[in-house]
Amino acid sequence: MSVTNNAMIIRRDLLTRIIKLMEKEELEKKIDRIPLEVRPRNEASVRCCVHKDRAVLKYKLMAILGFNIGDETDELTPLSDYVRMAYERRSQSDVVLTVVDEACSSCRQTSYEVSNLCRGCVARPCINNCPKDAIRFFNGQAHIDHKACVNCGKCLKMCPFHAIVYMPVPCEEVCPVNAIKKNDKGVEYIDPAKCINCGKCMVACPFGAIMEKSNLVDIFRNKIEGRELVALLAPAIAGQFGSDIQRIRSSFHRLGFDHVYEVAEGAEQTIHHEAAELKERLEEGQPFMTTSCCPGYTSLVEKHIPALKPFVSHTPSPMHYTAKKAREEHPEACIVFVSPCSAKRWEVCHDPYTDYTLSFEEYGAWLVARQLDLNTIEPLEGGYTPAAEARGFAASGGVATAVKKVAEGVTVNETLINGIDKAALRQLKGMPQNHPHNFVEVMTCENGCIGGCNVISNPRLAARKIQEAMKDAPDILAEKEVC
Amino acid sequence: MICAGTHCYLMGGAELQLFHEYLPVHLRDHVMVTGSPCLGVCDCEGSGKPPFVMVNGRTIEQATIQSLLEVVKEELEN
Ligand code: SF4
Ligand code: SF4
Ligand code: FES
Repeated sequence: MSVTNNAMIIRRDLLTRIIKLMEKEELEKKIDRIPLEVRPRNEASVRCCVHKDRAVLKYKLMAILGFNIGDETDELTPLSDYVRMAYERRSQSDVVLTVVDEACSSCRQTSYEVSNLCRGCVARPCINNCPKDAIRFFNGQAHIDHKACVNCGKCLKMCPFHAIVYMPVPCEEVCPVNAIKKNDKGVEYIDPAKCINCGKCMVACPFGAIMEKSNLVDIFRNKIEGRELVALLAPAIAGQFGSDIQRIRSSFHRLGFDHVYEVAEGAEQTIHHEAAELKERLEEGQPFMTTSCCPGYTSLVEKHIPALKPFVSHTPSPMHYTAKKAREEHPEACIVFVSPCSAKRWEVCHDPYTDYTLSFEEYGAWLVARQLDLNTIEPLEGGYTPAAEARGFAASGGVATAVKKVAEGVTVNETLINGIDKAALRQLKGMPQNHPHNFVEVMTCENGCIGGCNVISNPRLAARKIQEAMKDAPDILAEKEVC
Repeated sequence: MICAGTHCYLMGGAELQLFHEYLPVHLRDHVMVTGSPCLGVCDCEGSGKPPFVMVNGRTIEQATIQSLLEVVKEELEN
């Protein structure tokens, strides 16, 4: 899987530009120029014309400022006004994704189409096999009558020339819970009652039409107001940028953060509590328990598989434990979770101890805006080194391995759900009846958090880096020196 | 030499770190792939866009696995 494409690079470029301007305190003055600079008049446009390109960029910038595109009341409101509003706001809703309608709407409804490869053959197996009689012939070629077609795909399988193609709507195709659908204008709409914030649609959209609402302005405002900034680094960060965790920690101080915690630290507590809870539940006669650290999964259960709820662990996530500790040590600080995904962004909105989210991507853009290169940053020595197993939370299988190691008096057999797609959803739905092994680890993303929607590195490379970070770390069962 | 500087990494260089895996087997012995901290080109005006790669002293901008394979083959022919 390739994790980069142009839509992603445009987003990262916009993030970098916004952060550069914020660093110079010129955001309000210069933001309206960004679309013009990115799409100058004399260069070829990607869409129909340069103006359309610029309009799309404007809305993407609006999302980066933290606004819902749907909240726009006046199209003429300049971005500078939004900047002012962003600096003035004190709270944001828990809707983390927004659809840039200007960029979307280009996909047609999912359908089967006959391409020009059709030879109008004599056999015409497409006609013979269509159960709905939806295929017509004119001008010597087959045509599908979309009013009659039920998208069964039989014709595609039958055509010996491979002349029939399937045209998916990429975001709808990947959404495991059918939460994203076209509205009456043909623009995608995310139904908050169904969405689990996994971010798969954002990654899938080839137009980059789905954006995360960023907290960047809010983080900068807190900094300007003189509040201390605390960064909580999700375990998956150890695999990003090909760098090591000590340099990454150090870079956060360079960016202006006062305190840095690895969330793997909180993962140690999650491991111990989860193991104890599993033991207790099995002893009480429950056949199995599932993890709860992935908010994409807990939302899935909440919204789509209520029957599974009694089996989900009540142990708080590593982020929660780490944030709690950070809050106790720095009660007045602004606590920022550095995140691999939009599901965690949602969790941040609901956790009592965290304030804002900074995605891996935004962090990368911040480094670039400040012209910092992780390779040349001095690594930070000392500090707390979390256990190897806790660092392992970043990859699929990590939680199960850790719990297995710590659990006493029970034999843990695990089932891993490595990424939620429609098949995994069916498997999960069947679990209350069809008991799996006694411990089920569920990660919404394939490969685990190193495959989250905000990651930078290819998950394979990231997995290697995580392994390295684990080698440098003590064993979870070793006595820890308290520092 | 593939830039592993943070700027290039973020703008698509992350993928290039796997370049050696894409090299056809018969070319592997003839090419040395190394990583590098920031090559220093990303912040100069007019040098193009990241990610950057240096192949025998040539600077390739907006490198992709495919464009690099082309360049490597060209260089080997010369
Ligand atoms: S974030 Fe996930 S659940 Fe929500 S609409 Fe997108 S793909 Fe569907
Ligand atoms: S697996 Fe990790 S990255 Fe993916 S949604 Fe869950 S918490 Fe986020
Ligand atoms: S980061 Fe690649 S040239 Fe600077």
